[in-house]
Amino acid sequence: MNNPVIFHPLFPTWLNVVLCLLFVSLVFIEVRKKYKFRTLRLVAQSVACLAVAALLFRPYVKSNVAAGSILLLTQGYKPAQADSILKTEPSLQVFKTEDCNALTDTKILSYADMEMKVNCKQIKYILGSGISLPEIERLNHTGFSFFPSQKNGIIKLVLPEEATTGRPAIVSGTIRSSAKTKLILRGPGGNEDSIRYEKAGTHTFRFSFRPKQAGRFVYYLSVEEEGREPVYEPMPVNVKHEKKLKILFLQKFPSAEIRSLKNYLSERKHAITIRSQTSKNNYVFEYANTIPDKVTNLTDPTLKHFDLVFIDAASLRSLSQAELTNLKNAVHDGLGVIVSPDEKKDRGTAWLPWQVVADKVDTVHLLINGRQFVLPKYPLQITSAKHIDPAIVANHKTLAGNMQVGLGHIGFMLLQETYQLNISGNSDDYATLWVDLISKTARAAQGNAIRITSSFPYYENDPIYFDLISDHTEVQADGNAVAMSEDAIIDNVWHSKVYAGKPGWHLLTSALSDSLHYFVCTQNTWQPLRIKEQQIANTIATTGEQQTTNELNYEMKEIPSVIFFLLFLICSAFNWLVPKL
Amino acid sequence: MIQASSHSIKRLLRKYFLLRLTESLLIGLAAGLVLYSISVFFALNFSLCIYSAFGAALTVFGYLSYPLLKIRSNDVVRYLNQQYPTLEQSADLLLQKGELGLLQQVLHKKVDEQLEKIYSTIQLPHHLLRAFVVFIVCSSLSFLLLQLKPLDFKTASQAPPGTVGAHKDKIPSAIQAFEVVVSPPAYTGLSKSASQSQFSLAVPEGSLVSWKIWFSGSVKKASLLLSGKDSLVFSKNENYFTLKKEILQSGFYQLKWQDEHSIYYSDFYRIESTADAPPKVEITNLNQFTKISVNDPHQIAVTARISDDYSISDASIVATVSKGSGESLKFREERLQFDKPHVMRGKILQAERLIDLKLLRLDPGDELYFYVEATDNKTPIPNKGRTETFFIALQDTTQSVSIVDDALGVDLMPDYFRSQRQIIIDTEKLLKEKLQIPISKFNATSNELGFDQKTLRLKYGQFLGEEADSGIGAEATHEKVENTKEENLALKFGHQHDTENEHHLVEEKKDHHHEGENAEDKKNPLAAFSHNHDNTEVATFFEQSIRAKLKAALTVMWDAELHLRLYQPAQSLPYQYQALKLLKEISQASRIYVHRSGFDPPPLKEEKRLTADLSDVISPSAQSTIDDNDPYTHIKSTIRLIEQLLHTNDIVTPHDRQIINKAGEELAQLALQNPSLLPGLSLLKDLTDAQNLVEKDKLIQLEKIMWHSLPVPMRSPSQQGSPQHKANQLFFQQLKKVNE
Repeated sequence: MNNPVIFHPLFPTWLNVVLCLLFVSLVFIEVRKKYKFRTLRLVAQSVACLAVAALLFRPYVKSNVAAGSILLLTQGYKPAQADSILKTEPSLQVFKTEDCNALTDTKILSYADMEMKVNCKQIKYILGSGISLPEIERLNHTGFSFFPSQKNGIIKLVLPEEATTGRPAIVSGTIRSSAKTKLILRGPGGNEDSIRYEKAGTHTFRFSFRPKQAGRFVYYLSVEEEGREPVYEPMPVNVKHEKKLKILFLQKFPSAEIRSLKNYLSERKHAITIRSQTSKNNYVFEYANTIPDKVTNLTDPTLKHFDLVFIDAASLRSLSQAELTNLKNAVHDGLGVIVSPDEKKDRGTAWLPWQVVADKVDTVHLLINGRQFVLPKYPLQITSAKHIDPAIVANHKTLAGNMQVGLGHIGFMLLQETYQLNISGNSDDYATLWVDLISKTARAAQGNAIRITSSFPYYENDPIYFDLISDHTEVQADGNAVAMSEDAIIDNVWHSKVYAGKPGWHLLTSALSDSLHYFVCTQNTWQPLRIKEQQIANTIATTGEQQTTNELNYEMKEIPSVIFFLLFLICSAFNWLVPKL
Repeated sequence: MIQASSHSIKRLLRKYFLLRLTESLLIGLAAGLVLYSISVFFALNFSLCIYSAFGAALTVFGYLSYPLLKIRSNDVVRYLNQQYPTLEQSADLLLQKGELGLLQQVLHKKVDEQLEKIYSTIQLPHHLLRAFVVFIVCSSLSFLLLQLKPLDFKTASQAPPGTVGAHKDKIPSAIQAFEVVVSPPAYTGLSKSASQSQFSLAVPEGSLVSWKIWFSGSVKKASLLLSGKDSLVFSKNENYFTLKKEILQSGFYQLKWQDEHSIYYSDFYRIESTADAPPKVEITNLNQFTKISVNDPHQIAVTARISDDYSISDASIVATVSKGSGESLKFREERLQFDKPHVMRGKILQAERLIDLKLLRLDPGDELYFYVEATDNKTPIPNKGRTETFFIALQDTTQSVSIVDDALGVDLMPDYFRSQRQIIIDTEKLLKEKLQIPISKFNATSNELGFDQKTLRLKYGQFLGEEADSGIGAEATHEKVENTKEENLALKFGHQHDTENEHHLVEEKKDHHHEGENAEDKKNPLAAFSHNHDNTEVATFFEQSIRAKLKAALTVMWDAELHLRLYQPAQSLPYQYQALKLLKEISQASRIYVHRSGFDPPPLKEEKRLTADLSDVISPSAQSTIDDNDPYTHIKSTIRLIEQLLHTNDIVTPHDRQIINKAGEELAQLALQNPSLLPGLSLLKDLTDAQNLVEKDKLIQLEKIMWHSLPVPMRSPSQQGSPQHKANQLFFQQLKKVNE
């Protein structure tokens, strides 16, 4: 902002070359003319060319204005707040953004002009919804006070990161309303969930839905506030198929529990191998959805093949020392193991990261999907100094859960005879018991290396920041290569941004076939949420030092185009008249 | 002046042109009309008729008008010279330009004056009248031809019942007209419906539906796809296609036709087949359970309201009289006709009947069960409807009630046990009255009690399979009773089910047999291998231990009767008490036997025991694979496509159309079970036919229907994942080393 003159060209800069050529040729022609007043003619010709250039390049000149700070009014500001500030500091200059409905005589300060027309460091107060995130970043100015206003609507939204077919996906958030409000979640099949608020205020909501198929869908959150038109906010949901697991069951003898679990998992197309011991060296093998391969010894390659091992304490005890070591190593490398524990502690079970103590209770009342069930349990209790990630909890006791050991997990299940739920037709409740435990304990897959760090929603031309964790830096956004910058501290962590394209789905892909779909919303959607995020960003940005109000204040003024036009006319008229004189 | 004359000649020329052109036009129109009516008569395509008629008219007009192009003013002058002598063969002077000689000028003036005089009388040659006549004749002819054209085509051309503009369904443009006639089954009494104005059908079950369709193009083959499965081919008749089909169940259908270029499909149309409901019958004036005392009138009025959707053909009361009690219960069934109406016809009837219980020979304690049954006129098998069973009980106030077991709150014992007690009471009463009554009466009463005792014995004899008097207790002796008491009857007569598995462990036991069969075995060797139920000795109404007790009771009854017959009721009493005790035991012993279930181990092979031979012991394995075929693949693909169309401006590509068609097949199968999905088929067709952007409302509606057609998937575990940095792995590896 130190330049006394800046240009705001109407056309691209390559036009300079054309204008220069034109100027030279016109001057040359003028020199060749054998009329009098050559010098004057040349001057007139030059001035005419410059006037044309000025008309096209629109020069702005810096002009000093009365010193003073700026009060910037943005969308939704409270006039009372502005009046109070102006009362205490009458010398403040008042500006408003283009989308602000302030008094008509207030000067408009568009984002484009913000740097050009005023010294942005003079902005002392911002009222209303604040200035947009990219502008905060661009202006690099943190010395202002921000007084946010409140806007009704959804002001917080947590979308499911990745929805999976058949599994409940959760959408939660916060809504601020000024009247009775009904919030409905609509999916491709119609209404999925809804909630009604009888009173005005700020409320939280939590919706659940179960996608029926994989794909990219746009759900809608409709906000029906009494006395207002319903608002439909698009909510992108990327549904993926569940990733199949390779599961090994090792059991001392066949049991109905494992039989039921095997049937359930194999019906869901997971690869199952079951080894049931019939005598000391004889086993019965069962395979489902996998190629038969007898697991006689637990070797490293064998265990690497599986994602999860179900094993009872007796089988664990019967493993050889080498097998036990291999199992421990495999868990450290990421394998998941679910153990049916018992109270004995010996060579086979001592390495497990918990203590088993006796419990008098051998049945438990469980509330599954809103229904009460009574199930038998081992009269045991699992305790550990480390954190247990619970999967099933009843009466403050963890009945199933897992603990992280290295990269892998070791889980336990204290419930017995869960198969009775399946037999009695409550297969969904049966699935609820097992799904979380198995999913959390099984070997974790290599997740998506791309992660968007900007918060939803994204509008057209918004910068979308994302990270990449990979040693390959090639990333494409909708087929176009994106330049990445490596993290200053951590290797193989890359940062970059893309500018959102047209509303709809867009794709980020990495060299390792990781892909991430993101949805660009239309400008008129999710306004309360966007404003809330903007306000948060503005509030965070105010942590800088306050700007002193005595600093030089200036304004960039556009030179009126009419001056250049008149100059052009006069000069051209002079050159036209000269031959006639 | 010269100019004026020349102008007159030109006016004549124009007039001539006008006359001849009109004449040509009339003849051309006449030709066109004739050709059109001929084309229509031969039932050619409508547009072909129009084109040919127009072509003919234009050709004739052109042909007749073409010579006019060569006619000039000179020809008019020549005609005038020939036809009008007053012009002195000098009319050509009127057209001459330039300087004329004196004589020529004089003559010109004269001719000009003459022309002015005769101008209004000049008759130019033409055949306008003839042309007009030709036009009239040809118009009449074509009108007649149009009137004489085939009847069927007449229906099509004169806006038949199902013309495209009249119906509600969306019909492809290639269907010019159609008739759908529904002929309900004769028994319904419904008249044959006139042609429907839409393809969707709502017909009574068994209706014969006939389709008659006219296509606008040259269709080679047409067929009807029924519920997405069967294909019925239309038969071609001259210019239309017909098909008849009996509708037996609901579903949907689609028309398919083929011309030289491609195959076309119509929209999907619903078939709703309304099944003939069975008659509805209800008794309006009675409770389901009615008790009548002896003093009440023994006539019951039954009023039934019978209704059917078409007509009732018959109705009657089916009454069952239950007489007696206990094991002597007898049933008698009778079918009673209603008193009125006499003829059962109509959709709704009010039938009445007065049931006289005396005529049905109902005694106190007897019960009447009845229901009203009605049949409708459906053919070949009529539907039947009936009411619930109604009960009418005639109360028996003389019936005595005794409780056998004090512990029981209700009388669960059958009548025959009370009878033994009654005999005891009567015997004791007789003994008390012995001194007050004459000896003859004492003896007679004792004899009667003996008869009662015999009757009771015979009743119990029936439970042992004894049907004749002679067979009762003949073989039994008092000693046997004593033996029965002392022996373990269960071991002697009972089945020992607990030892069923013993044959796996030891040598097979001999087949169990009943006591007393040994002697017969010697006579009949087959007896050992048969289970002879016809034998009164082995007939088993009860299990063996009870049977033995009953047999003993019969023997004791025999003794009791004996002493009563001998007028010794005092000696009879101990036997009577003994009989009562046995009967009571029998009643207590009648309980349900439940087979014990448990694990039956396979038989051990004695020769292999303790040999340590494990050669046959192997590790078996079993493999199963769940079929990976998803029956909803194309429906899911179509849903994804709809999502894409909803949020972009894309249009449906030919590849998309293939997927949509296959999704339609999948949806059609589902629609058979769930008719609410049927609108989805129509919307799918709209999507297939769409050339440009599809309406969003339709897309949303279609997506909704297809989404609902998918089953809710079961929740399943899934491998979870988050981006793993190599540093994580290195960190845990180092941590493991430290721990080790």
